[in-house]
Order: sequence, then structure tokens, then C-alpha cells
Amino acid sequence: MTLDFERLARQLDDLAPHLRERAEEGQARLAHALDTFRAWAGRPESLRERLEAASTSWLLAEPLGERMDAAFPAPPTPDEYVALASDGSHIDVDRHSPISCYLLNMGRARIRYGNRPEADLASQPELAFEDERLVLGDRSDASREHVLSGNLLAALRSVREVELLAQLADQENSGLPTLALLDGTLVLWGLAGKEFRGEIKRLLLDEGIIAALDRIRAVASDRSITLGSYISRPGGSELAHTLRLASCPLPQGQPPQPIDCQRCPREADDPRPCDAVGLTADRPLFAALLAPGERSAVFRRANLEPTSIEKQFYGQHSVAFFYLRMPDGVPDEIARVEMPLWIAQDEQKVGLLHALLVDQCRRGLGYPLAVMEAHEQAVISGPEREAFRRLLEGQVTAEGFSAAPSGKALSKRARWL
Amino acid sequence: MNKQESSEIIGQVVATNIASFTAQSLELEGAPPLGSLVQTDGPIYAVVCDARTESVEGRRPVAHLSGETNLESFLDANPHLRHLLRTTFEAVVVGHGDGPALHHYLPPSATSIFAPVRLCPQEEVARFSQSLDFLKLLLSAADNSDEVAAACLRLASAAHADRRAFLVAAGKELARLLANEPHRLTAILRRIRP
Repeated sequence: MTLDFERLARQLDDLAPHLRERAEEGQARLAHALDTFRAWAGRPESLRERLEAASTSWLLAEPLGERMDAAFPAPPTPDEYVALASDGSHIDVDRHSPISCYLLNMGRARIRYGNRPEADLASQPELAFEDERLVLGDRSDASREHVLSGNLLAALRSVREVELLAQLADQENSGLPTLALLDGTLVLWGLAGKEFRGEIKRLLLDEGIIAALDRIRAVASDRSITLGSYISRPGGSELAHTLRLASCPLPQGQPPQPIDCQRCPREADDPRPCDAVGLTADRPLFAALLAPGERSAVFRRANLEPTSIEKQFYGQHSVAFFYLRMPDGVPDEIARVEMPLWIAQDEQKVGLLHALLVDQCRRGLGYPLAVMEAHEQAVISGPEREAFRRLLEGQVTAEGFSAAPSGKALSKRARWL
Repeated sequence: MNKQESSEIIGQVVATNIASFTAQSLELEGAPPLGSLVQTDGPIYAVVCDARTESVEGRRPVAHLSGETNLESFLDANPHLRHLLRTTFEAVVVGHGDGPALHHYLPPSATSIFAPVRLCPQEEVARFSQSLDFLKLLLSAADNSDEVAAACLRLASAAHADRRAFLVAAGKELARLLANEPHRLTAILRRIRP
């Protein structure tokens, strides 16, 4: 046994008191945060000015038009509708493997409810081993290249998911209200810390996610199609951070000053003034505000860095979001639903998104059923990964090449004991 | 086209050996009744001895009571389930055809994987069950072979003009095969009593 449970248990003993202490403190902060949230709900303009003038690293959000403490019950679910979803999984490039390659497996689900019930669940693998598909170069600098693995591969997978959803939306000819769903956030987080240029920019952004979102938008312009990306137990904290700025004492000072987190008026070792309303995520705020099945107001990110991927590339697809409380009859949860700005600005599409998501979560017992099934189609199990490795090695040896894995990989398969 | 070819395909072989095969039913819960005579390429004749409906990917179905009272409306309300469940049935091989001849013993090779499976029409059942030699294979096959044999004889009797005469002949054949197992014999006879 390599994990020493005896020593671990002693450390775990400290967890319970810590949890209790944090829960008590959290209750007090939540009460403060709710008061501040409600107090500012009627003053969106002053809030916007405050956020825009602020100099901070927090990610912030502002309401898109509705009162920010509002809660909306779901519109009635149409008798007939179609749910579309796509999801992907991948096997990353493995430098211990005899050949460099990655495998994407894209799952999709189309489920039609109502008078002519039907479903289509399927998956499609994509194997890439050619240099031009494994390495992203940059024409303006010959020495710049990025191997498509890790976060970059995760970003490519997200792009493929949106592309597949665009294709499904394009093919949808039932004429019924249609919900197009993705899993996770709409922003390509895998590109964080990368420079958006060369092939990364072309393949993943311009001709990637942006082109796919453009395509969905074109399809949705004359059809009853709505689009959302669903996040279960979201960690998003833009509104929690916004409340910190709302409660910041700097603008109230004499003379009033714009907020600048680098000049936070606190003594060394003291908590920050905004810690009194400091929540780690937006969820508890909406757990207090929303009844089962209700959604929050629609928000959008505020005061984004000009260099952020969203600001530079997303335009009409900039991310807006609302929080959704699970309906009665399924385990309670606050979920986050992200959507492009053009959906958020269309009252009907927001209503349809809300109504159909509530129905999907009911059917999926607390998670949208179509996304769950697309995921089940995409997921590559442990034994399948192993079978893929063997197939690959078999193919390499059949061609007379050496399939010798790295010494480290070999050591895991052939130990003495 | 002869009568065998004209009967409808009800399933496809997904696992096969000389003495039995498993077929996936084309329709969910569309397995033929216990004891039915089916045939597959060869032709190879077999008697349905078991059927099951389960998840395709090894996912375990979980019960969720909802408003629907029957399977059809339940599946209509949850259309994705038809893709995730499958019905398979197992059949014991009881004979094979060789040109015009019928043999009531095992074929030289197993039926092909993915071969289509058809339900034998009544005339074919009558023709095959004119000889009762297949009962020996049936009685020595499945775990519940007595139930399968009884079900098979009840169904086959309906294909014969003189149902009673067929069952009496079958009873005599059973008495001969199970001479040393009176309890089994009685149990089967009770199940096929005309």
C-alpha cells in the first residue's frame, strides 16, 4: 500500500471543524451578499458605471436588461419538440506510445418528443496522426509551433462539438421547437495563456468555433431553434465578484475614487473590506433567490480585458448566462446555462431554452437527458482505451515498424512483482 | 420463392455455436414465444429456449415510476430508450436441412454470425415435427429443457391437422426417451395434455 491511510486519517480529523467554521462564516457572508444584491438591483446604471471604471482582475457580470434579482418561472413546455446535443471525448497524444496520434470520439443525440417519438444516438471517431493535423504552426514565425495535445486538444474537441451541433441543427427539418445543447462553457478555456495567432487562430477560432456558431445563428434566424450550454454545479463567480465591487468603500471615500484592487484600503493581514460579501461562487446567491424550475435574470460578462478571447473574437457570440434551479421531483441543484448574446437578446429563444431545459432535466433526473446520452455515446471506456492501444501497436508492427513503447510505459506493464 | 424464404426475419444471430445460438430480436421485446421453431441460414432449425431484454452497453436500467401504464407509451415518452435496450433470444439447435432432406441431429457446422433468423411458418413446423427425433436434442439441452420441450410440443401440435394424434405420438416418444426418469416424464406430459 503506497497511500498511508493512518497518517491521512489524522489529517482528515481536522476537516470537520474546518467545515463547520466555514459554514457559519458562509451564512453571514451570504446574508450580506443578498442584501447588497437586492440593494443594487434597482440601480443597474450606477452598477455598470462602477464596473466599467474599475481596475480589477476579477471576472465580472452585469444584467442584460432584466432586474438582476428577478426570478422567472419556466414557460409551458411545447407538446412536441426536438432535443439535439453533441459531446466529445478524446485520447490524448501519448509520448510513450510508438506513434504520435490523438483520437476524438464525437457523440450525438437527437431525440424527438410528441406525436412521432424517435431518437438517433450515435458516435463518430476521428483519428489524427499526420504532422499537419498534430502540429499547429504559424506562417508569420517559422519557429512557432504547438502540438495539438493537452488543453489545445481539449479546445479542438470543444470546436468539434459546436461544429457537430451546427450540423445537427442544419439537418433538423421537423419544423418543431428545437433545443440545441452543449455541455460546459461556451468559451474555449483550453486557449487560456496561448497567443491567438497563426493556425491556432485560424483553425480553432475563425474557422472553428466562431464559424460554427455563425452557422447555428444562420439556421436559427428563421427557425424555432434555441442554443445553450449547460453547466452542472457551476463554479462561475462573476456575480459574487461583482458584489465585492458593489460593496467596495473606495468610491464612497472623500474624494470618491474609482475602484482599483491594487489600492485596496486594507491593513496588512486584515481581511479585505469586500470579504464581508465574498462568496466563492454565484450558486448560493441563486439558491436563495430561485424557486424550483425558475431561472435568474440573464447576465453578460462586464469589464472584460481587451485581450480576452471573448472580447477579441466572440462579438455577437459573447457569452451571456442565467442560473437555473432544478424543477421539483429531481435532486435540487443550481445549474448555469450559457448562451451566445444573440440568443440572450431574443426573449422567445430565452423562454424556449428555459422551458425545454426544465423538461430535459426532469427527464434526465437532474441533468439534460440529451446531453447525457450524447456523452454516453462519446465516452471512451478504460477497456476501449486499452483496445485502441493494442490496435495501434498491431497496425504498427504489421507494417514492420517497431512498436516498442517507452521504457517507462513498459515498466508499468512488465514489473517484477 | 419457397415458403421458408417468404417468412419474415425476426432477428439476427449475434453469438453462435454448433448446438445453440443467440439472436438479437429486430423489435424490442419481439422475441418469438418460448418453444417456437425458428430457422436460420443452412437451413438450421432451432427451438427458442430463452429470451431477455437488457441494456445495450451494460448500463443497468433503473426503475422510475411515471404516469405511463404500458411499455409502448413508456417508450414513446422516452424515445431514446429504444436505442439503449435490446431483446435477445436463445435457441437450441434441433436439426438441419440438406437439400430436400431434413435431419433431426446437429449440423456439421454452426450457423453463421449475423445470419438472419426467421420464424418457421406452420407448414414448415408440421414438416419438421413429423419426426420426433429432435426431442432427444431438446431434452438434453437447456437448463429448463422440460419446459422448453413441452412448450415446443404444444406449439407444434397446432400445426398438425390431428392435434391429438400428434401429442399422443409425442407422449410415446417422451416415454421412450425418459424411461428412467418418470418424474420428468410426468411433468412434461402434464404440460402437453391435450
